[in-house]
Formats: sequence, C-alpha cells, structure tokens
Amino acid sequence: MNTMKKPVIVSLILGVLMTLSGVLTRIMTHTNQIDIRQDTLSLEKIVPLEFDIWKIDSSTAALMINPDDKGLLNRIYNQTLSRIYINNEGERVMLSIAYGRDQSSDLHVHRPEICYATSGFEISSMSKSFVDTSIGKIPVMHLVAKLGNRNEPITYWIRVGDSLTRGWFEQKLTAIGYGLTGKVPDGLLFRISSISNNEQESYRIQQTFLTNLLQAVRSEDRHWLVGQLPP
Amino acid sequence: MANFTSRIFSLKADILEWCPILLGMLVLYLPTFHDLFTGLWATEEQMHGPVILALSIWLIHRLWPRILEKRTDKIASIAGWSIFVIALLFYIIGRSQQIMPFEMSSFIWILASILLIKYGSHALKVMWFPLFFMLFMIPLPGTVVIFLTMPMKMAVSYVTEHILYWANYPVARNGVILQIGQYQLLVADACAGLQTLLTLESLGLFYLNVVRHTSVFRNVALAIFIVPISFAANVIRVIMLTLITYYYGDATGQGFLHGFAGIVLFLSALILIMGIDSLLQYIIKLHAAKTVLTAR
Repeated sequence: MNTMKKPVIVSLILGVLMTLSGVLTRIMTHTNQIDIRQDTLSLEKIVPLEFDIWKIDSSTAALMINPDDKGLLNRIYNQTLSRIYINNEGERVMLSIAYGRDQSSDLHVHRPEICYATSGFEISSMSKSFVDTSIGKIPVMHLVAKLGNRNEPITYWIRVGDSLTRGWFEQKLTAIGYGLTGKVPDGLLFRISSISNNEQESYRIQQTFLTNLLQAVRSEDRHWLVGQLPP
Repeated sequence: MANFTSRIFSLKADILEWCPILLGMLVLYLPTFHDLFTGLWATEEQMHGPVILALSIWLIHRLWPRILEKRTDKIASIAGWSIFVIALLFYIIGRSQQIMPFEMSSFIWILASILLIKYGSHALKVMWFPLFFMLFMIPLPGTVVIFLTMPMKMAVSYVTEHILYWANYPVARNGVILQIGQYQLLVADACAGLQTLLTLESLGLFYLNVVRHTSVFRNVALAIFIVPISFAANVIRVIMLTLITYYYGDATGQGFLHGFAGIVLFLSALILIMGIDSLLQYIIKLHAAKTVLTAR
C-alpha cells in the first residue's frame, strides 16, 4: 500500500505547488491600474513654442521619423509632439516627445534605436551619457542613425514612472520594479536630433537646447519630462 | 474477474495520481493559452505558434507508450524538483510582469520536470524532441528580433538589387529602400524573413523527426540548408513584389503583398527543399555506390 501511495503524494505536492503559484501570480498581477500621476498632460501646452534663443522653424519641411508607423502609434501613445526648432545662429534641432500611459505591458514606449532601425536607418555609436543642465544631470543615450547621406545624431531618454532610463534593460527593469509594487507607471520618450555630419557639435547644440528648454518649462510641469531627478 | 477489478483499481490509481497535476497545469496555463489564442497567436507573424503546440502534443502522445516503465532515481528526482521550482518562479515573474518568453518557457520546463520526477531521466530522453520543438512557439524578445531583422533586411535588399540590376532593370537601393522606375519600395520587417526562417526551420525539423531518415548526413545537411533556403525564398518574394509593382503599378503590388506573397514564399521554399533533398539523396547514393565499388 505504501508504495502505491507515494506517487499520489508526489502528484498532490506538485499540484498544490502549481495551484499556489497560480494564485500568487494572480495576486501579483496588477489588475486594478493605479496611475502614479493624477493630473492630465498637454504636451502642446507645457513645451513652449519659443524660448531663449530658440523658435519654431517653419521654413523647412524636413523629414521626421515617426516613433512608429501610424497604427502602432495610436495604440501605444496617448500623446505625441514633434517640432523643429531653430536658434538665432540657424542651427536646427528636431524634438519628438511621445507619451504613453501604461508602461506595464507590451504597450511600452519604443526606443529610438528600434524605430529608426525599422525605418531603414543604420544605428551606430550608441552610448550612455549624462547631460548637464541647470536643473541637474540628466542620463541620456546618444546614438547616430544613418540612411544614405542623412546622418542624424540623436539624444534621448525614456521616463518610466519617476525614473529616467536608457536602453531595453533599464526600461524593463524600472517597469518591473513598479509592477512588483502594484503600480502601473506611465512613460515618455524624449528625443532630440539634428541632421549633421559633425556628431560632437550636434550633441553640444542639443545640450544647449535641452538646458534652455528645461529652464523654460514651468517647474511644476517638468516632472512630465524628467520625472524626479535625484538632487 | 480478478483481472478486471485490478484494472479498474489501476485506472483509479492513475486518475488519483494524475488529477492533481492536470489541475495544477490548468490553473497555471489555461490563462496563458487563453491570452495567446486571443492575442499574440491571432497575429499574422505568430500564426505558427498554435501549429507547433498541436504538433508537439501529437508527438508527445505518439511517444508516450515508450516511457510507461517507471524508473525514477534520486538524481533525476532532485534535478526534477529543482527544475520544477525554477519553472514556477519563471512562471510567476513572467506572467505577473508580462514577460512572455519567461511565461511560455516555464511550460516546457514544468513538463520536463514532471517527466523527471515521475519517470526519471530516460523519459526525458524519449521526449526531448517535442520539448525542444516547443521552443519554437516562444516568441523571440523584440530586441533580439530587431537586431537579427535589420542585417537580414539589408541582405535581402542587397541581393534583390543586384539580381534585378543584372537583369537590366532600372533599380537603385538606399539602405533598405529599393527604387525601381518611379516606384519606391521599403523592404518591410516581414520581408526580412526571420519569422519565415523560424517557421520553416521548425517544420523542417518536425518533418525530419517524423520521417526518421537513417542517414544522419541527410538530416543534418537538410536542417542546415533550410537557413539559406528561407533566405532565397524571401529574395524571390521581394523580387516578385518589386517586378509586379514595376509592371502593373503600386495598387497591384500591394494587392499581391497581402494576398499572394506568402504562398509564393512557401511554395518556393518547398520546391527548394525538395530539390536539395533529392540532390542529397543522389549524393548519398553515389557515395554508397562508390564504397561498394571500392569494397570489391
């Protein structure tokens, strides 16, 4: 009798463990969405059309790369903004911001190295870096996208909840961190780029643009773009 | 009569033994497969998922009689339990944080661990192919797809451009954008054929496993050849699409893309596979004849 019972006990243990895991998973999965931001965002309103030495450039209709194709765009992002700015020395910076409310699932913000690559660009010299601005050090990713003779140095970050991330690993890790505490983070892609063969010069211009822009955005709206920066 | 009661008895014992496991599996994976069938597997690029699941279940069913002798030992049992626990962790993290590869691979690990715990390592040896085969139903992480897709797209565009250029068509290429006549075609992700490659490779392996050819050379060679074959099939598809657009216009090209291109792809792949298979058989025959000749 004993030899007959043992397999049944083993099965019972297996079954109970599996059921418990199922229940635990159910508890851990956030079915009720808790947003960490209560107020509503209007990108058009918080990003000024004119600030410091920069104003909207209406003269060129440069080809801007959309974060994704149209169908995906509407599914993933709740709001997008793309503008081209020009400064008093004629230097142009393309700004693209995409906001998505739910970063927990597949609907997370897409990284530029991916949307540029799918549009046929060749991605090179991707590196993590920091940009000094008047409101603090901002972690950014630098990369260069190239298609034919169009060379486009890009600076971006992705805000997930209150943290700024760069690259797949940081983005996913932060989202999981929120997920484990039962929160659904929102997310925002902030991307600036220029068309130029001189990458260092472009990054310098982009840094100036960033500093000026973040200075110009009202301090109570800044969290939409940069989250909670460490002091 | 005694035989009959003992059979009833053993059936009852079987039910008692497998019921908890089945129940546990249902609790874990009913939601997973429900999500898959209504979500990911309903999309065009992951359509092979349910096919692979069905084929794997069929394979497991077919191989089942071969493992009915129970021979567990301590090592297998320890390994089985550790894999089981790790698989559950994968499941919990994967499902609650929506990391599909974790969640789906846990299914394979759980099956493997139950085999180990219940039947020992020889059962795993019997079942290795269906378990391995199920790996193909796990979607690759997006990042991996992107990094594999881009070079493949470049290669397809490059080869297409050169072939059409040799054939004297007015063709030019800029990255993955092909220009033919007045038309501009962006070689899309689907044309890279990563998914096609995986589907063909999995179905090819399935075919080889079921047919069970005795020649190891032929099996391995064919499995390897599927890679360039799926590439060639993709190039054929892109060339046809380009030429149809060139001769009949954009609308016809787009119509072809959504209706017929997939069939062309798989037909050309099938013809290429059959061709290479016959060639391999011919080589084997030639080789056999030669050895017979030298043996004399």
